[in-house]
Amino acid sequence: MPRILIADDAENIRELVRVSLEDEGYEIFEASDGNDALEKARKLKPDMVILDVMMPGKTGYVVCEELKADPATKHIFVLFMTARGSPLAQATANQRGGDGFMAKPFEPAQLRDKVKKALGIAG
Amino acid sequence: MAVKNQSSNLFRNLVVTALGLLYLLISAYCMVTSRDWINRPFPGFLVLRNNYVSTFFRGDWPGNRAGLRNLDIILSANGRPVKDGHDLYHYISTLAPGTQVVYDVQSGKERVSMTIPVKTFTLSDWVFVFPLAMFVGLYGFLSGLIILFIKPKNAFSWYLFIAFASVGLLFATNGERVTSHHIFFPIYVPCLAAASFLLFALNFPAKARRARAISIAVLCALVAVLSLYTRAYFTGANFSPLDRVSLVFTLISFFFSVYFQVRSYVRSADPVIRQKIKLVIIGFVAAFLGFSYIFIFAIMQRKMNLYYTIYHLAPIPLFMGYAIVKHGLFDLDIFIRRTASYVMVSGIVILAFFGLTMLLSLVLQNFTGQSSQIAAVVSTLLVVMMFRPLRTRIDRTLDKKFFRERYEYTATIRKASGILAGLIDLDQLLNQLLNTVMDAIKIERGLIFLKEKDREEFCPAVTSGYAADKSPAAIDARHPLITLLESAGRPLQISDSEEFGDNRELIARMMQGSGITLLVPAIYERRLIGILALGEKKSGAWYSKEDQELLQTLMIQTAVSIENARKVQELKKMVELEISFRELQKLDKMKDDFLSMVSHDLRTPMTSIKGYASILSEKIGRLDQDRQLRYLGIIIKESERLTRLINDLLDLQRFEAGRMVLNLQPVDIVQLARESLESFQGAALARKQVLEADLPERQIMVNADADRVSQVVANLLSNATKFTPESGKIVLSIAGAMLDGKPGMMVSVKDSGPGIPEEAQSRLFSKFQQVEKGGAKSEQKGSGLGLALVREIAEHHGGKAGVESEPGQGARFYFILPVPTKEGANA
Repeated sequence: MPRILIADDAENIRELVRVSLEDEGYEIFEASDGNDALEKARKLKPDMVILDVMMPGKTGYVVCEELKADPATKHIFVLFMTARGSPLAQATANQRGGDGFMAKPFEPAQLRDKVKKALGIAG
Repeated sequence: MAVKNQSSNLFRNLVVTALGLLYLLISAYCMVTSRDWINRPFPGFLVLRNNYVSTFFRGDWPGNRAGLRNLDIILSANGRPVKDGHDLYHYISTLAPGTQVVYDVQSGKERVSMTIPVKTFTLSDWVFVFPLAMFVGLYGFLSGLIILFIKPKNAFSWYLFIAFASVGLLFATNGERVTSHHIFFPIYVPCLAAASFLLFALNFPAKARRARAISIAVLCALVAVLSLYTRAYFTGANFSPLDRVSLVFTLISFFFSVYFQVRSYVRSADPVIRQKIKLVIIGFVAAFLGFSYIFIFAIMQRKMNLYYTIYHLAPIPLFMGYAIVKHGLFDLDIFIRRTASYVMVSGIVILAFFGLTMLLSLVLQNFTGQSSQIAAVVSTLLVVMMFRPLRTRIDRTLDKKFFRERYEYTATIRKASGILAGLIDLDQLLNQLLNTVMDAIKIERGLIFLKEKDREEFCPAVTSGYAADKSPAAIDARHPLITLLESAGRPLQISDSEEFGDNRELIARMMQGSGITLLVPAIYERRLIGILALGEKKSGAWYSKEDQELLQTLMIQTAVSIENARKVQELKKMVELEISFRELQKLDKMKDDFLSMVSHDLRTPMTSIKGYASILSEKIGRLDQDRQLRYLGIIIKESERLTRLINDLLDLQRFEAGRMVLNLQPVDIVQLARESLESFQGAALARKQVLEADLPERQIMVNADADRVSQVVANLLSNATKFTPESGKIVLSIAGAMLDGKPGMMVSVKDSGPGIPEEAQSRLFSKFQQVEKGGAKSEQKGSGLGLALVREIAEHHGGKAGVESEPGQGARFYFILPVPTKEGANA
């Protein structure tokens, strides 16, 4: 069962992501800030982190960089999910090591597709 | 350039000194030898060496009374044939005064016999024949010198100087020529003068190379032919071949001089040049008439004598005409000053010279019996030594005493150049420069052209005295005028247009069209960077050489100032551009930041609204009621947040546009604070925070818009609950405070959050730079508009808003509102 870590400081959003993915058979974890996200990612070794950018503690960019720098967590698929929807934000996310990008607000169905594809599960 | 000038000056001084010395030596020699003539018996008339009678001297002499005429030839005295003039004088000096002598005279074609008594040559006769002639000669010599010193760089100044100096010598030796007959070479100087005139005509106003070659060839041929002809035609006594050749040469030279001047006149289209040539031609015609008299006379009487070169006085109008046109001697001040200075110096020098010569020769004669020549040489040396210092001193004294105005204007300009050098503002510098020059010299109008960077033309930078629509146009940088100014490196006056080279007519027309009389170049690093262009002087005079030199010096200094001022100006412009560019960049970035912040903050609630609405619609049948209700609750809350955000944005925009109207009324600030506090208790409780009040127990009235102040308090409390960690503590308090020295009331919200670094504090209240960039960890989710709005509202109430914080110690946000003085302030 693929494990997904949702890192966002807004509880509403975490729940929204969780609900969007709940029927897909993933094991879902939550982190409420940057440090929490990093810690849980190391401990839980999820297959994917859905990462908000603007978080207390460490920003999503920093979290992503640290994950990619560590051989133990390097393989984790990082899906940035941010309200900064500009092409610049997308480019920055790529540059910082992100594997995927999702702008807020999002369609739950779109998110499901993206996650499925990222995890290599045939639709 | 400077070295060349110096060496040419040296050459000039050498030539002038040599000619001056020659003049003085010859004069001295004539003076000394002529002393023998005092109290000596002589025929009662004077003859040249070739026995031709000269009646140019005193009318009461027996020769004149007996009816001797000019050019009569003495053939014999008392039946004794006369070999030459010297022979005659020698014979007569052996006779006693009063002795009647019978002369055989050829007068015209007739031979007559005359009886004339021998006369004693008195002291007064001596004065009439010798010193007077020398003064006339000195006058000629000095006139040539003046022209040479005024315009040393022109070839024609040299021609005229040589002509004048030779005519001067001719006069100085006049007495000798009709008495002792020792020095006769100056009788050939008319040839020299005529040659000089010819050269002048060939070079004025422009060089005529082909014409020069042709004229010289024709001259040689004609001299050969005509000298043979005169030999056959004139049969007078002692008329040597050299005499003949020089006569013919003089004649032909004059003829060509006139021819070339007339030709230049006909060919030139430039009115200034035509005017000048016209005057020169008048001079030539006058001189020619003087000469032609001799020749008409000679042809009529079939005899002639070069002694009558005295008619060379006739060219003087030519020189004057030339000088006036050429050197602007209409400037009477300068004319008078120079003349006065020279007359004074020459007077003193001549008196000293003759006094010394006489005295020394008397003294030496008594001791040694000879040595009068030594006396002449010694006096000459003394006079030469004192000439220059004397002239300088007299010039200076005259300047100060009689030409104060001129003296003062030079002083004014010199002083101004010091001030100008200190100005770095270009406009100020140029204006001051033009005004100073125009005031000091009294000029009708003037302007300064400056070379525009990146443009190939010289544009008028400042003008004065021109009608608004008559200001001269810009000058193309390739205009021959520009090239000429740059290569000449000195002022150009329209009256000197013959020095303007091949394009003189074009340049002269351009200057006339713009009403410009004088152009002074400003040259920096060998490039022409500007031109001072001046119109006519109010006095109508030309610019003198002194004026031009002074202005040139001024412009050399000013060129450096102009260049400096320009560099400063460019630098300033660059700095300004850089600054405005950076500001624009900053503003642009701030706008971008604001937009992305707004978009971010609008998207966040939208995400929840849209997301939960989608979930609800997807799973409407499958979700339990609790979850459905909770999701709907989230949608409502986030919608409210969105609304608030949009309202804040609009409010802020209204404040900034100045369209926000406050509804000011007396408000109890304590009551207002308490109500706000209560409405946040729920939110605080949810985050397990302690929300306390530290409020006075009485009413405090302020003049305020109650809704807006509530909004401020709510913003502060909302931020506090949001950013203070769970279980934190928040205190709302009200206390008296000073607001710019006046009483005010401070409402503050203190939290126990992480605090805000000092460098971020000042940015917090501005609309743009905040939130995402802030160092404070807890502010990330702020819209960034709340505090900006707080500040706007506080300031529109005449108060202010701020924050105090130390990292780790929490933060204290506050705003202060003014309190009506009547109410008083509580501590």
